[in-house]
Amino acid sequence: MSLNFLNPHLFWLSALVLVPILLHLFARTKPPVYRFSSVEFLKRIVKKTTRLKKPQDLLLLILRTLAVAALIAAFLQPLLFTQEKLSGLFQKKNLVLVVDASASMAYVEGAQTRFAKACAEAGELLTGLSAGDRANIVWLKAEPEAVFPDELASNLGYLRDRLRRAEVTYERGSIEKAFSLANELLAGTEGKREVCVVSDFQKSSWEEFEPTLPDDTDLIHVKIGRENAGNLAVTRLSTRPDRPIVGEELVVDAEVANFSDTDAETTIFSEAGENRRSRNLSVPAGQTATAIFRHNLTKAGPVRAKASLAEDGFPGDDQRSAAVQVRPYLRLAVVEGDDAQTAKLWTRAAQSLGWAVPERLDAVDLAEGKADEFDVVLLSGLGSGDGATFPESTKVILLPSIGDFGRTPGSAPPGMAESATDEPLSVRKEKAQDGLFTLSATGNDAGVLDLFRGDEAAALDGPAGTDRLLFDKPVGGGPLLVYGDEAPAVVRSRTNRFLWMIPLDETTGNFAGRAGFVPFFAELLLADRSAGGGGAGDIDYEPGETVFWQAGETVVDRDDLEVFSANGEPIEFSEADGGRFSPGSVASPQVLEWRSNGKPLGLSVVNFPASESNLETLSLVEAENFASVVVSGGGEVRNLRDGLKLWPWLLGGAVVFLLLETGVVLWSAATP
Amino acid sequence: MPGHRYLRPEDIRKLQTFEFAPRAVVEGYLSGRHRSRSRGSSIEFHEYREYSAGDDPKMIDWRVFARTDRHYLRTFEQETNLECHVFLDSSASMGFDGGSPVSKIEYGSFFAAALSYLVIRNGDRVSLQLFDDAIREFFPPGSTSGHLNQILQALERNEPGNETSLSAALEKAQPLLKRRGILVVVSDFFDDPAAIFRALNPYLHRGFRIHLFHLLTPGELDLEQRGLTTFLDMETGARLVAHPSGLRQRYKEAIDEHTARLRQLSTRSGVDYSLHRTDAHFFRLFDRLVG
Repeated sequence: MSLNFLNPHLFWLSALVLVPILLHLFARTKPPVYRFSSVEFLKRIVKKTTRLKKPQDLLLLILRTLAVAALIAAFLQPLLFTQEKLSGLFQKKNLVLVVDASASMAYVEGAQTRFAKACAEAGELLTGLSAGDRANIVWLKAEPEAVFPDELASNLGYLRDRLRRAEVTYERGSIEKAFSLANELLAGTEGKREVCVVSDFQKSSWEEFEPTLPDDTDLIHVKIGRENAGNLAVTRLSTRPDRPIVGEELVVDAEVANFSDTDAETTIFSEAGENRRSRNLSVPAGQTATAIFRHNLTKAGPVRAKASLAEDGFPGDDQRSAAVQVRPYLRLAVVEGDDAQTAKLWTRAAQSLGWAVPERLDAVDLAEGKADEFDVVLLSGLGSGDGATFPESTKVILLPSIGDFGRTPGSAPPGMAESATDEPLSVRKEKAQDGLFTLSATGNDAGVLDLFRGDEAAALDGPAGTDRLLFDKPVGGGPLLVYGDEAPAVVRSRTNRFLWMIPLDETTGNFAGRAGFVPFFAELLLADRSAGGGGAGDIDYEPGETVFWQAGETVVDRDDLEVFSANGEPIEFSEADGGRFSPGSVASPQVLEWRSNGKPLGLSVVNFPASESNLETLSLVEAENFASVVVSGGGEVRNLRDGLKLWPWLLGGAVVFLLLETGVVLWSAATP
Repeated sequence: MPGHRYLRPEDIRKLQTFEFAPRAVVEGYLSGRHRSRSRGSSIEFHEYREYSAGDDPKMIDWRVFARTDRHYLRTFEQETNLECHVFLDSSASMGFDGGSPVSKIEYGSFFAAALSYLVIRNGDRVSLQLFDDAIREFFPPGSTSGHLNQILQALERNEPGNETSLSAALEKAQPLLKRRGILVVVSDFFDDPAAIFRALNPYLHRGFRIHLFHLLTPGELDLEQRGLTTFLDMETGARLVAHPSGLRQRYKEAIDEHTARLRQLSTRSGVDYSLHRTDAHFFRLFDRLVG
């Protein structure tokens, strides 16, 4: 805090503050003489009143001195600078203004957004710079950038013009990068160095941040906005299953967060294709609530799933989208190994479903990775030496070959089976000693056996055949079907990985002929389809991030491909590595549609960054923990720049002191 | 009569309608003179009156009884010269005017001059004593115009003197007053009331009728509004620094207490006491002389 005077040449006036003191002392020693007839009566009473008079005299002296001092100080026109920074009226300085342009700054407080207020305050700071001072502006967003890319400049008018024309982004702010850029800009400059951050200091972004600035660089924070601003936002949107097929029910989970101190009642809307749903939702204060919608998808192709709220003071996060690629059928890859019969029956069963299309692959195809393009890979009689790796999202159903199972990495689909010890597993075929092996469903089915509860269990339970496959050691995972001696028949090793230990051969067994076989097989194909990821268009991007899109299983010619923004405008894009395409970064939340020859192929979803929805900001005390200066917005920046004019206060103070003095005099006169 | 400072022609004109009597100065010309029941060589026959119970048998005229066989009293009338003794305080404190057009000593001088004029005009005798802590001037009783002229000149010469000691002055003046009469004391009475009345006791025993005229200026009755002030005692020269504004009420209470004490002692002793503001006309002092 410092004090400057606009009229320092009037400092000699400060000597006048001694006048009342001298007058008081002089008056006390030589008050005017009054010839009086007799002071005998006065003498008798003056002793009693002297004790009271002295404090009154002292009080009067203090008040009169203060009044004169305030009056003199008013003539000096003092300016109070509450902070040392920006107060060096006669110093050249280098100032980097870091203006927060992140999404939370779009919040409307009063008549303007936080960002507009921040630009106004930044303009005030620039106005306070002297000729010869140099400055620059760094926009705090996903990829911070400076107005003058490489250095500071003295063209402050241009900076002010940029501030007037600037617009807030929908991006998450990268504080570290912004400070790094500010440091780079200030490096090598001569004179005083200052970094002034004009931001709402959103708690979720700034709470854990610790600035790293050189010791000779001062950091100033100009805080914009209230500490708490209530907001309702759709913070998460997910769909199940991951890649639905036509006719399948799509479940949309929409999470709504209430970033306020009061409970909220709201209506949430959901769209998927041509379906629209809505429901009322109660969201407790400071918590989240999830609304679940179910939509029936009737057409194949890319579908936008969307959840939205009624628009509030911060509309950017009131909706959220997800891209869903609706597939016409499930693609199955049947790889025939040692067990041709099982492969054959699997193929027939799949063909009977109507929504699954099996294709035969051989070992060469498997080695080339062609199986990655399929939803389900059925491996019939594969074992050591035939192993391959598959994406986590690809479901693998393995009937192991007889012999060493091969736990050596790469020899079998990873995670298919684990022994209780470190010793390798081996598989053997076993024949029933008398009659047939019987099967029964377990409870540990992960939803696969939902159709076989109660009376329907009989469709699965019962004789299966004379042959079965057995591991020589216990394996992990959860058995879905077990033999009569509890040996596993169908095991879910982990997500999307199943072991099938039932040889399907019409000559040795009749499991494939059982009424429950096809439904069980179908459920097995559909199980775990919500897990995993991948596929075209299902990656959630944020504004400012580079958007990529991959055609997936569709072969696309670059020349036929187009991408359109939400308002139907075509966007330029380029081909990226890995067969991906990219329109670059997208500034605002929207859904981009990729088309080939007019046919929709996929969607790229750019959603509002969920971390920006919580508008709670750091308190001044919290902000002071890592900044040397914190100033609230609303005129205080002008005071920081120009100093607070104290003379009106001093004049008022002088009047108050004089009034008090008058009061004391009157009170003294009225006191007996 | 040539013009005098304290006896102005306009005052004389007004005084024409006044008459000074032993008990009264009354407005208008009233019959009756100063009556005396004392007998002496200058006794003159007044009238006979029938004896009534209670009369002194010595007063019965036995010759008339012998002639008429009735008891008649022979009454006499003696015209005596009234003596009025004026004591005018001339101490330093009497020079204080305190917001009044005239000082207390001037005010008292006006009254003393008028009173002396009235007394002498009636053919009575008046004496004047100017005192402070001692008798500064004494004019023995006289009834001539020359005597009045001397008194008036003395008043004009008179200046405020030393410290007040009314009691001392009264004690010293007692031997100077040969005949009893009316004692008029004009003072600000800045003295111990008990000492004053101790000094007055001999006069009371000798049959003096005593009038005490207490003169105070408005500024003495109610302290002026002033800032911090050095009060300089006009009699003692003592200095006192004080805020009058803060002392006014207590000072007034002290003055009231002092006058109340004087009034109380006066009532107890049969002395006429009156307090007068010097901003009122001095003729009002004559009201107290109405018997």
